[in-house]
Amino acid sequence: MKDPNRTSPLHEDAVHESAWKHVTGRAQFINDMDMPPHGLVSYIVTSPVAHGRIRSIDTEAARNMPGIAAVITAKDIPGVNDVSAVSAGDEEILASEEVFCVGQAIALVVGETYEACIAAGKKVVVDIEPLEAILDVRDAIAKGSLFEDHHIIERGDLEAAYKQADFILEGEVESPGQEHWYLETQVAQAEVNEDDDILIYASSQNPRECQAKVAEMLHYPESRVVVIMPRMGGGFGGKETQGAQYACLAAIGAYITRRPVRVWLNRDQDMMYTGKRHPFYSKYKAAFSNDGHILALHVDTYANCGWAHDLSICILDRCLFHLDGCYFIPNLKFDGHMVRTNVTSNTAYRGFGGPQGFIVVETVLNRAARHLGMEPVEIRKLNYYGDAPRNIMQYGAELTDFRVPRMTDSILKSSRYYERKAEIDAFNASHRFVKRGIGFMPVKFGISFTNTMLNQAGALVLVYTDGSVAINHGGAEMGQGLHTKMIAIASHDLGIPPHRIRIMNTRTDKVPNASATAASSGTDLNGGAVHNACEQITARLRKVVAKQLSLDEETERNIVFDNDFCLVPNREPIPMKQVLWWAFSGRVQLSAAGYYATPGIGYDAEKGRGVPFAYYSYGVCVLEIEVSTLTGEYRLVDVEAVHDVGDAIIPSIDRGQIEGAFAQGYGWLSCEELIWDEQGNLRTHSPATYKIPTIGTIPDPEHFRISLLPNATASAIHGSKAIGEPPFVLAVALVQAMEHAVCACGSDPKRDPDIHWPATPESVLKAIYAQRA
Amino acid sequence: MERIQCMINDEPREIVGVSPTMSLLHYLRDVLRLTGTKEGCNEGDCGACTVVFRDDSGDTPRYRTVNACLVYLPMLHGKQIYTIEGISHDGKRHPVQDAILRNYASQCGYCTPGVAMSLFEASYRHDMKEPWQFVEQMAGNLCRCTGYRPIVECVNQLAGKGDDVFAQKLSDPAMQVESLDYSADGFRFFVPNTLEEALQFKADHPEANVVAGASDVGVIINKMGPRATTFLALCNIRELRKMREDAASLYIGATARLADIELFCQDRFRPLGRILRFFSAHQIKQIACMGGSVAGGSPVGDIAPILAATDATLCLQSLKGGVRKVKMDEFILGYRKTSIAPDEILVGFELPKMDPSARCASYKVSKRQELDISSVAATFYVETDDDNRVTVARFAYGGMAAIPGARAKAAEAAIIGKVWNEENVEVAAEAIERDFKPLSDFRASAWYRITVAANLLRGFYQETLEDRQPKRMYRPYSTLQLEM
Repeated sequence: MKDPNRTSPLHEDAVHESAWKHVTGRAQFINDMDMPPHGLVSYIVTSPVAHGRIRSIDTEAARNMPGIAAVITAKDIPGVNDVSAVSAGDEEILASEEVFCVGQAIALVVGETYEACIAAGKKVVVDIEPLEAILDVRDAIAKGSLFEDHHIIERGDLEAAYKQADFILEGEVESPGQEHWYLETQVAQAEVNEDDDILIYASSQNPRECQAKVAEMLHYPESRVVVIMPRMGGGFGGKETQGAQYACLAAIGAYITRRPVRVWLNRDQDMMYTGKRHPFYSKYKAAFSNDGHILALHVDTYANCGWAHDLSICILDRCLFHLDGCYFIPNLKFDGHMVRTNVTSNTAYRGFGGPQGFIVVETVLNRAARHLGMEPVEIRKLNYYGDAPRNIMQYGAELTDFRVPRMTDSILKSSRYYERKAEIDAFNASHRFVKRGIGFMPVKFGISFTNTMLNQAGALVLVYTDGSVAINHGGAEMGQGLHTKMIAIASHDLGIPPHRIRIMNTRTDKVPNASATAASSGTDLNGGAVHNACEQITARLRKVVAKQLSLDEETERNIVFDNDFCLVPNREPIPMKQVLWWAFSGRVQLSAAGYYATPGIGYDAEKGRGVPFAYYSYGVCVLEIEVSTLTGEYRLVDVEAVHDVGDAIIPSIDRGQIEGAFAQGYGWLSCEELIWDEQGNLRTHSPATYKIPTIGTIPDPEHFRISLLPNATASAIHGSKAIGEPPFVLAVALVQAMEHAVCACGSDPKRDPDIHWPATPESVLKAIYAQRA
Repeated sequence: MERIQCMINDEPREIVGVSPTMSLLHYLRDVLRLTGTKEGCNEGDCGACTVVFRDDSGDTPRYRTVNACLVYLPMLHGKQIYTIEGISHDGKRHPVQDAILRNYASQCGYCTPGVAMSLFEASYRHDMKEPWQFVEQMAGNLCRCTGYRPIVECVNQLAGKGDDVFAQKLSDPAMQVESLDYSADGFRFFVPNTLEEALQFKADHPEANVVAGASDVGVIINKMGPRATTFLALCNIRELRKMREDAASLYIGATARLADIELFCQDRFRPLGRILRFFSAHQIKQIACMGGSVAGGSPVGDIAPILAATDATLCLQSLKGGVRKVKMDEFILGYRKTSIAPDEILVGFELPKMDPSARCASYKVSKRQELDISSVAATFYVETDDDNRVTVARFAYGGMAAIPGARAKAAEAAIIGKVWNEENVEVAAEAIERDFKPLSDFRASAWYRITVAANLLRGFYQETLEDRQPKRMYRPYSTLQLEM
């Protein structure tokens, strides 16, 4: 909460710290940097087949082309040829013997210009014996193309629940993949120094992993590899693991040529080569009582991982953790499988399996509501988590401070949900060619890396005697406003105004062993570490002031640093510079390394039990659509959402995160469609064919009402909550709204609509025709 | 003139020796090192490379946005360009830059320079009155972070408010250049100032690839490499951009900008006026034209069905033969094959004025309403007699056959002579299955195309019951604007 006695920037709207550079074109992304002298660019030769055995690679002709410095293949890698996440060891940097998807890297051509590299790339002769490729999830399941990992969370007695149930619903839900479509495509640039140490600029959410993978690749100690991350033009999960490939390629290029090398993907390459959101295929069996209570839910869910592990196991876990939605399900079995197919290796994407879990339970509840003739909101409220014993989640953890019920009541009122629903039903009854639908969505999203180990962060805060501050922390800025929040936290903690605080580039030689900036955890973890460093410094400064002014301990404890002054009770404010000089001249350290580890969490994936999350982020959404029954086209008419971010560190930034996440979630379920052909080529590899939302997709501001839950003080840094991913799930409200509209096209209100996601106009029209048939 | 003369951020530039197939985007980034202009897709679909040029082809000078990735260096000849680096003045941010800050409209910042340039154009536009124009203005700028709400706030606050040094600059005299004949890197680009010179060049170089805005050819150059070595660019020929209203028809110059046609035809020729809202991107509409859309013979072009259904006339011109007028069915010969003679240039279109009693509307159905290629496009034109019997029916489609503007002859035959009512329209709609065997591709399946083709006719019947040439709605859920 805002402290009225302080002038700190906490809990106040603020402009992104780089915004003035964004708007003037001065913000440098890696591909904007001046190429160092003698720098080279590159082109990646990739697999043209979805699965095959490499018989031979002939680089001779390519190497002799003009302007070519090197043509690098797997055999040129001195160390470990692997870029896989979570130590899976199954993702070669350059394929050596076998390729597993179209677009997998086989050779790197390094040369003076892109034109020269592309021309030479065409001369690389790769002889590949095609092998059987599995592209379809059902086909993969039938053929047993699964990774070995298999996680299950279960409790209660399913069979008994089925027997006791009034009705049972069985069905399938498929959720689509999604291309990240960060505006800045993958890029990395590497150079070597006099010791052959490697310096890399990488557009990566995980500079440490880039460092580790490059070190392994070169048989170097990690201390000889430095990764710098200046800024990303969007990440959304797509640069959590996938950036490491390009960091490695740039590094091997620089290592071999001893010249700076840049690896940059154009849009088509980026879309064809990099992993995407996992499509999930889920089969469910649910048991209900006639009063609407869910008694049991068994879900077999299959994540389409593509050809390698990547982070799939963690993504699968997060799906299992969110298959409960906001609902207490006494008997359950969530059975998660990882399917291996010959497409790009799917990866982290905002929500990380969570949205793929939610969509299943929401679909099940919609069906049950229809079956019972219940209002879909009512069946949700009935099944919400509640007081003990209805507060234990599937993994045995207790849900406390569950804010969804009060948020539900509030949004139903403010959005006039019931009135509008009645108006819409009347509208639909009197309209042939246009139908409307309204949907409600409650969100409970767990915050923490589900891999407990990753929930730690470091920071280095340097205070100079002139009262300026430089902060290094392990987090990466991808547009989410992390740096802006870190400045606010440090400014508050140190009492130094934001304009005198600089955030330095994220570097592995300043803060070691940092986790990826992911899992919505950036502010919680890095903010915790910055806060810890600032507290160390201010504790020292209090002592300095107390000594200088001969204060007693009680007075020392009450010293406050605010707005460039040190405030000592009953004394004139002392300028910070004065205090800092006292400290310096008294030989007191003005820098500190901060550290933070999220307390109280721990999860055993084998047992499916534990406390995977520090807390939950909540949200509710009501949205309305209007559908053409002749073409299946539709429009988002109105969105209202309330999200719980605790006491927002910077409300303007959190609001931006919610709006942006909603739009991405809406794109996931509406217009963004990935289509592969039968040879495993992605056919939708540019914005001409892959359609993300435009400004026209989103309603006018008066119909796009996003607000932050008031009076929401929470447990993370300065009373805030994490924000990156949870609001993505708000858009799942489209499921209920679309079902509402499609059902209105048929005569039987109990008939279940069959909507294939994403709900493209074609998908919707098919569903409408099926509803009428 | 053999050197490209242009101004970039008020600095005169002469370009010589650089390949004419280099785009403005790469010239800015790699040669001038003005890296504020970003590459997002290199095909005009994202707007990250949006820059602004001063346009003097109309009655009053104005700024227009363009995607720098689709502008090739010779097309800069005589142009004044502003990039994101050039809109601050005297060390102060431009009002659009401040608006982005004030509205928290940048997150990762990568689309932001392009967004700023679209806002820059908006702030000097004085023709933005209708609500749809505000959305249209920004529809060519993809943003993946913000969800657009703050960008909407920006354009709403800024449109037409520009009253500063950049407004004053528009009254400075226009840059004057001679025709350009530019050769480098094995390519030749001729950019004449007059139609006469263009016709002479085409007579001498019938193999020349004619471009107007290069928004179509440019994608091929960027992604697959140029397919021709000699180019004739019509972008500096003012007379080809003219539009006028005659007693019996509208005349639209072949290179009249789609953006201008959209406004000009809003009420004068509604099937064209209302559909252009969902054509390409705002930036593309500043350089793209009907001539380019039709001359390439693309089967998914959205202009061709309008021309075919409204019985428009295409004017082709050659030095020898003068002007030759043809209808669409004489113009399109097959898949990407037209009857343009090697020495001819498509110079304009005559759109016959419609009797108010005629029913006519255009539709475009795509995966995403904006900035997408049609799954199905259609224009319907129907005349009836005093007994409400159909005397003329022309149903023309895009996306349904190998040729653009393909007519649904069976459906037309089914309705001609019949009373124009729901029952008879139903018979005609069912006949469409006999007219087309569309393809399935990543845009839509054959089932969807054929179903929607028939449904659009059904919808057309309903939509024109009251307003026979329906106007545009703000934010319709479909180009088919049924409120029933």
